[in-house]
This record gives sequence, structure tokens and C-alpha cells, in this order.
Amino acid sequence: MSRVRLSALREPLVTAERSLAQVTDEVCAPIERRPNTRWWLALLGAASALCFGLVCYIRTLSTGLGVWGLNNTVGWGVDITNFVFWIGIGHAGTLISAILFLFRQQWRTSVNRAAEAMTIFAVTCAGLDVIVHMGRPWLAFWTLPYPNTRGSLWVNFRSPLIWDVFAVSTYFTISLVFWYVGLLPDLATVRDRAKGRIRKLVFSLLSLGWNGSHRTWSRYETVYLLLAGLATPLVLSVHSIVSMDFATSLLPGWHTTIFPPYFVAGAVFSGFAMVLTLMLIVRAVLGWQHLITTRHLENMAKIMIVTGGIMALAYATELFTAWYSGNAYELFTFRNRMSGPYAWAYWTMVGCNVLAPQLLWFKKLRTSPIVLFPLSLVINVGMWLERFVIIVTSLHRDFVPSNWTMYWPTWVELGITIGWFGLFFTLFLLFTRALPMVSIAEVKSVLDYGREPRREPASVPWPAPIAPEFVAGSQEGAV
Amino acid sequence: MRDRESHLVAGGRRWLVVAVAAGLIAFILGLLFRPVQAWSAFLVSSFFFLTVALGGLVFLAIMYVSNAGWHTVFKRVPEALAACLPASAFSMLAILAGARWLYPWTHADAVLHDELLSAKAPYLNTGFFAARMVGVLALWVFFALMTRRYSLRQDAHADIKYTRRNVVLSAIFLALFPFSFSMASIDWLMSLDPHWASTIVGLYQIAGLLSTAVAAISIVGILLRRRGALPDLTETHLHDLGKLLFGFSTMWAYLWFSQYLLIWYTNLPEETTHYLVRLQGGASFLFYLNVVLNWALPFVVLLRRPAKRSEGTLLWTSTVVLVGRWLDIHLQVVPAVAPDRLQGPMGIGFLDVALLLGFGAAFLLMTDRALGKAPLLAEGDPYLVEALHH
Repeated sequence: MSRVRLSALREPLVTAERSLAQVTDEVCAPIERRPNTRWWLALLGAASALCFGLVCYIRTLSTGLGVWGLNNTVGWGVDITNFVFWIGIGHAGTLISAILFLFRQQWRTSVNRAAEAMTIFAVTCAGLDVIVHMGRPWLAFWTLPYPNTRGSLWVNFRSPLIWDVFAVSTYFTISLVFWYVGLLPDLATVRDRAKGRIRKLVFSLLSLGWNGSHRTWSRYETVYLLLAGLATPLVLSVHSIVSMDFATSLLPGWHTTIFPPYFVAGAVFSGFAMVLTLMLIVRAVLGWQHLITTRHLENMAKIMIVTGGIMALAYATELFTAWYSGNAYELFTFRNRMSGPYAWAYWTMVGCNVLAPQLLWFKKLRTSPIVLFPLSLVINVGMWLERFVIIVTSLHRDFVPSNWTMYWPTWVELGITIGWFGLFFTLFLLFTRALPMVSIAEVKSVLDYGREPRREPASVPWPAPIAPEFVAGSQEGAV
Repeated sequence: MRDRESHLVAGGRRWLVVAVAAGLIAFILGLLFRPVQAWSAFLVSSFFFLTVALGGLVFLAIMYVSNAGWHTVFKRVPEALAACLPASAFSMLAILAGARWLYPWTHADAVLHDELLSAKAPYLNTGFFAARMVGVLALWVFFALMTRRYSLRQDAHADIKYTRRNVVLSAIFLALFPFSFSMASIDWLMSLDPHWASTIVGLYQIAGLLSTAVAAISIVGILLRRRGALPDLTETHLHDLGKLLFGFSTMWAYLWFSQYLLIWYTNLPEETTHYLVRLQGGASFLFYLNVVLNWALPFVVLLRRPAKRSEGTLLWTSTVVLVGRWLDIHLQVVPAVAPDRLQGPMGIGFLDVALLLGFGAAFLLMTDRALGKAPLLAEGDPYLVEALHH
């Protein structure tokens, strides 16, 4: 890294002077000491939420789906809202680890590990949610296509719901493999530092005999690049297919061609909000402000401006086309969203997803953790509501007015929703104790990024960085 | 500012002037004998070259806001493309003169007898249409001129403040661009068939614009490099341009497929008309050719690393993509304006080609002129050092 010539405008990625060993010590510290009371309290909270969710699910199982607020008109409610929400959260990790890797964005090194872990936990929630929302979850395996003895009963390959099964399971598998491969060098580091025998054994097995040789590194880099290439289309495909659960229907508010890119943008938007929520807590609790710097926060905020902008464009286009198409039903759906009984949800969504992110235009605000933290929560609320608005408001007043009805989630559904957050945070808390939260090997590679110019004599004025031999025309001296 | 030797067109200037003149004559003859065909050909080529110029500006703006450094070595190329934006804007304004040949909603009696058109009249009427057109074109031209101005000033003063100003300008531009360009795509292309609507059209055209921009930048950059004018444009830069072309062309295909799949699946008559008219008749092969040129071919060719780093491969793949881009716009416009034209064996007429060549020649001459106005290497740019060692 240090041999790449950088513009004088580049700033260091790791803002404190650290040696290689210090980085290892710092990142390994949380997993090598005993957890403190704060962590136990957090785990207690998360696990309680998870248990409450479990209780609610057991009630659903023992009594039937009737304990939910769904009815004949509104057949999808909070269940599918949760599914789409968690799948969306699961998008930032792969974007950071795969797409930003392909774009050679070196700032990703401090945040990619935790973001990928978050992705996997979120997709776990989404995958389980699909099973939870089934009337007969013990028959969940019927969604898999395989030769069977049920009168050769095959899945309907033309159904987007089946595409979902393929898309989500592929995404989960690739994300997990990608995460694991990226972990290998760090697992070996933890192994080499391990004191206890069991710990040593576990991490020896996990690190697959990593020996840090040039050959190992060379193969690792190749595999990582290939997996990044494979994971990139998945970032787009998963949420595109989720959007098709809706857009392939005839329903106004669901059937619109912008849905695939709009869902993908929304997923990245909400995913980054969740990464920010988690990273802001992690850096504050562990004092890692020099690893996860304000610039990391700022860059993530910028990505949120971009994806939030695409969301605003999609909202505006949908609204305009509802009028422009001249379709009375389409127009009614949007009017109903804006002034019907669920208008509160629509306007909260607009406030959270379109208006609130505009604060990020100001550098002062987007570099301030005190602003970013509540904002990331607001965006998550907005994105959850967005899915609720799309699903429920399109359904509850359909083509036949005698079908019109309202949908209110029962305490069981809300309990399961809380349970998902419990599961997500429980898994994340366990992760913070078990594995290095920051990619040690990758951060080491950017330790002196943007530092060297500072070591040169301070008297060099700008624009000196272009040494005479590098100016065009006399290329002989150039490296 | 001193005038420099022309690198892009070199000895071909005379032929380009001839092509411009031929295009102009063909257009005038077309206006006299086949006005609908002439105006649709004019709209296609005019919009196509507008996206090339605007694409240059969007590319620059993205580079500025993402603090990119690698492109600095060839940043004068997108700047030169963007310098053609005022001329492209004027050619788009000329469409106002031909609107009655292209847009059914400009005819009062048609609107009166069509319930849907009457409902859309508050938006689709000549006055408002012209006002929107002038507005968005002025907006883009303003940003193009300002960005270029700061960039040229930096050559003289090498002051970092010009980079910072351009970052701010680009951020504002990028916030406005998707909205304005979506609106322009709806106005200029989608409203040719005012009964049909699709929400993805704006994003679809934006994806097309991005792949147009990268293809055009690659072509001009490689031509300059071949003439020895841009020796610092290395294989590594070409590699990155190749990756971007690969990525954007795939993004275009993704949006193309999203629209096609959703309309095919739902099978609503008011939406499928768009595809039916393009899929029937002798020229329906153009519909498939569009996907081959814009995506399948660049995808297969550019998948390999050596292909992206090869000057020759990138040059001809970019050319194929540009031809594909033109065809894509042709397929948006012509079947909407004159559905029967795709019934013939070709679907592309003499006028279409003549205007494309005329516009293309004029565009090349203007790009060359813009390139000659400033040093090809932006020596005052603080990121140049990175691009030279990319």
C-alpha cells in the first residue's frame, strides 16, 4: 500500500499511529477478556426479547395463524413486512464487502467484518421469518424442488415466491462463505494467541491450517476476489426478486416496473442505517474511534444520501405515474396511502426516509455521532414502515369496496417482531465475544495509508506533490 | 488559451465536414418529403448525442463527489464531451419545431376525442413541455459550463479550492440530475406514446446514459492515446474503464429485464402494447439485437481481464455499445411514432443513418475543438499524481 503514490489530499484511514502488533492486540482484546456487566445486561435484554418472540411463536403454533390480525382482504401484514425488512438490512454487508472491494475502497476494511456478520444475522432472521409465517411450518421443505413421492408434486417454478427461496438461500450461502473466507487470516491470528487448549483447538480447526505463507495469501486473495465478483450480482438479485413477490401481481401499488431497483436502493439504505447503528455503539463502547473514524461514518452517510435519493426519486416517480397513467385504481391507491386511514404511516415514512436524510448534506451533521445515531434509528423505523405501507395499504382497500377492511397487528405479531430484533442482537452480541469484529489483516494493510506525505519535510507547499519527473512529457523517470 | 493541434480528427476533418453537410441536406430533404421520418431520426440522434455530452458531465460529477483520483489523467475527455452540451441542448430545442410530427398530444382535436389524453393535458401540453425542456437543458448547461470553468482555472493556478468548488457543484448537480433526466425521458421519449406508462423509464435511461458515457470516454481516450496525445493513459486506466463499461452495461440489462419481465408476467393489455409493436413485423430482430449489442456482447467480451486491458478490444466493444445505445433510443422512438415502420425488413431507414452520421461528425468536430482548447493533462489537479501512478 505504501508504495502507491497518493494525492496530498488523502487522509489516513487509521487516525492514530499504531504498530501492526498494537492493531492485533486492540482488536483481539474484546474476545480475550471476560465480558463485563454492560455486555451481560445487553445480552439479557436481547435474549429476553428473543424469548418473548419465542413465546409468541409458540402461541401461534399451538393455536394457529388466527391469533394474528390477518384477514381475508389483508393476507400479508407484519409477517412479510418483517421478512422484507430483514432481507433489506442484510444488503449493506455484502455491498461493503463485495462491491466496495471491487471499487478498491480501502475504508471498507474497518467496517466490513461487522457489516457482513450483521448481514448473515439479518438474513437468518429473514429466512426463519418465511418459515414462521407459514400456516404449516412443518411442511416448509415443500418449497424445495426435488423428486418426491407426493404424486410427484413440484413447486411452481413460475412463482416469484419460489424464486425467493432460491435467491435468499443462495444469498445466505454465498454471504456466509464470503464472510468465513475473509475471516481465515484473523482466525489464525486468534489461534496463535490462544492460551487455553480448547480455544486453540477450536480456532485451529476453524482457520483450516492457515500458515501465512505467500502461497496461502496468494490463493486467499484470488478466492476473495472471485467471491466478491460472485456476491456482487447477488446484492441486486435478492431484493429484486423480493420486489417481484409484489410487482408480478395485478394489484395497484404493487405492480410497477420500478420496484426491483427501488427495492434494492431501499435495502442498501436501510442496511447502512443498521450498520451505522451498530458501529456507533461498537466504537463508543470499545473506544475504537481511531479505527472506525468519523470519515467512515461520513462515507456511510454519503452512501445513505445516494440511496435515499434514489428512494425519493422512486417515490416521486410512482406518485407521478399513478396520476400520469390515468389508471383510476392506481391513483386511488396512492390517494388512499396519503389521506386514507394509514396516512400516518405514509407520512411518517416520507419524513423518515426522504426528509430526515437531507440533514446528511451538511458535513457537520454527518460527521457527528450524536446526530447520526438517532438518524440511523429514524431511518430504520421509516424503512420498516415503508414495507408496511406497501403491503398493507395496497391490500386493505382492493377493487371491491365490500372487501374493504382494516388490519391491525395483534400483540402476538408484535411480539414476534420484537423477537426478531432479540434474535438479531443476541447473535450480534455473541459475535462480538467470539470473533474479531474488525478485519485485522485488512486494517494492517491500510495502516500507513495517507501517512507518508506527512513524514516529508513540512515546508513542501501545495502543489508540490507533482515532482518534475512525473509531469507529462518526461515519463522516463516515472515508476 | 492557445489553440492546440487537433488529435482526435487529424486528417479526417474534411470528411467529417462533408458528413455534417450530407446529414443536413438529408434532413432538409426529409423535412420536405417525409417529415415524420425526418423528425423521428432527428430526435433519436439528437437525444443520443445529448446523452453522450451529459454522460461526460455525470461521469465527472461522480468522480468529483467520490474523491476519485484515477481518472484525472484523462479527465479532459469527459470535459470535452460535456463541452458539447450547449450545442446538444440547442439541437434538442429544435424538437419543439417538429413536436407536432412526433407527439400525438400536441394535436388539439386528438386530445379532445381521447379521454386519456384530455386527462393528461395539464402536463402534456406544448407550453409546459417547452418550459420543462428549456428548464432542464439550462440546468445541465449551467453545471457543464461552471465545472469546466473551474477545471480550466485550476490549470493556471493549481489551487485546491477549484477541486473543492467542483465537488460542491457536482454534488448539487447529482442531486438534481436523476430527477431532471427522468422527467426529460418521460417527456421526450415516453410521451411519444402517451397511452403507455412505465415507472422504470427514468432509471432505465440513466443506466443507458452511464454506459454511453463510459463507452464514449473510452473511445475518445483510446483514439487520443493512439495518436500519441495521451501517453499517460495506461492499461490500468483502460482496465478500470472496461470494468465500468461491463458494470453499467449489465446494469442497463438488469433494468431492461426488470421492465420486460414484469410487463410480460402481468400481461396487462395497456402495458404489453409497448412490446407487441416492437416484437411484430420484419424488423423485430432489432429488439433482440438491442440486448445483444448493449449487454450480451460486451458482457462476454469484457469478462476476461486481458480484454479490458486491451486497447483494441475495448475500442471496438465501446463502439458496439454506442451503436447499441443509438439502436435502443431508435427502438424507443420509431415504433411509437410510426408503428408500421418496423413491418419492413430493416426498421432502419436511410434518413436515420444519414442523421446519425451527420450528428456524429458534428459531435466529433466539437469534441476535438474542446480538446484543443486546453492542455490534455490537467496539471493543476491535486489528484493527478495518483492517476499517473495508477
